[in-house]
Amino acid sequence: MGLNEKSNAAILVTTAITFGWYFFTVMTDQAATTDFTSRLWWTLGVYTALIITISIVIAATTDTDDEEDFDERDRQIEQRAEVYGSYIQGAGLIGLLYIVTADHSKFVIAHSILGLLVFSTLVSFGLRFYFYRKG
Amino acid sequence: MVKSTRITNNLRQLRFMAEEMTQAELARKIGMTRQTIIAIEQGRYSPSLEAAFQIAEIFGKPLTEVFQYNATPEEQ
Repeated sequence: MGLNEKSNAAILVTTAITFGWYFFTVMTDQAATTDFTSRLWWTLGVYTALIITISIVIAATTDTDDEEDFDERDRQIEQRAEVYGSYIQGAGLIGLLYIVTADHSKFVIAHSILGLLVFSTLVSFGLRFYFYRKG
Repeated sequence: MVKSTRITNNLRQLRFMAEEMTQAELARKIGMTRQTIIAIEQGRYSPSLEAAFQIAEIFGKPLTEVFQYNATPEEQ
């Protein structure tokens, strides 16, 4: 597995675990509907720190043998996966517009936005993983 | 990418004949990753025209000796 493929897989797993845990704890805790902001920001902070740390560890431990670590195939895979991610974001934004204009609570709005970002990230990085494996 | 390609290649044989050049060495010479060379050899990825010419140049062969296009009967 190359550097980019490993990084993509790590981001996919980290995103799924971090936000899976976050949504599970928030949705099962009644008190979280009114007091969720600190937990949300902590999760985003931990997620960012995890991604940076994992990326550094992967880059330091992957032997690239002086070859390029990014080439035309990586670029094509990235672009193709990004297209699908942006389709989801575009469609999701219309849903978000509805949620915002329908006077929902701050909790619903914030988690709809977060859910959309997480879902599009999972799809985008999941597709990258698939494209790396298949072609 | 995922769509199967009709382009085949002799990269593995050519590497072997070029003093058993490794995939990593070839990758270094054309500025690609070893994973891309593996994908090309396995027919999972068709390189850009520029990369294909670079590969042919490294082995000192014309492009058509390195890569072949298997046309369908309708295309012939």
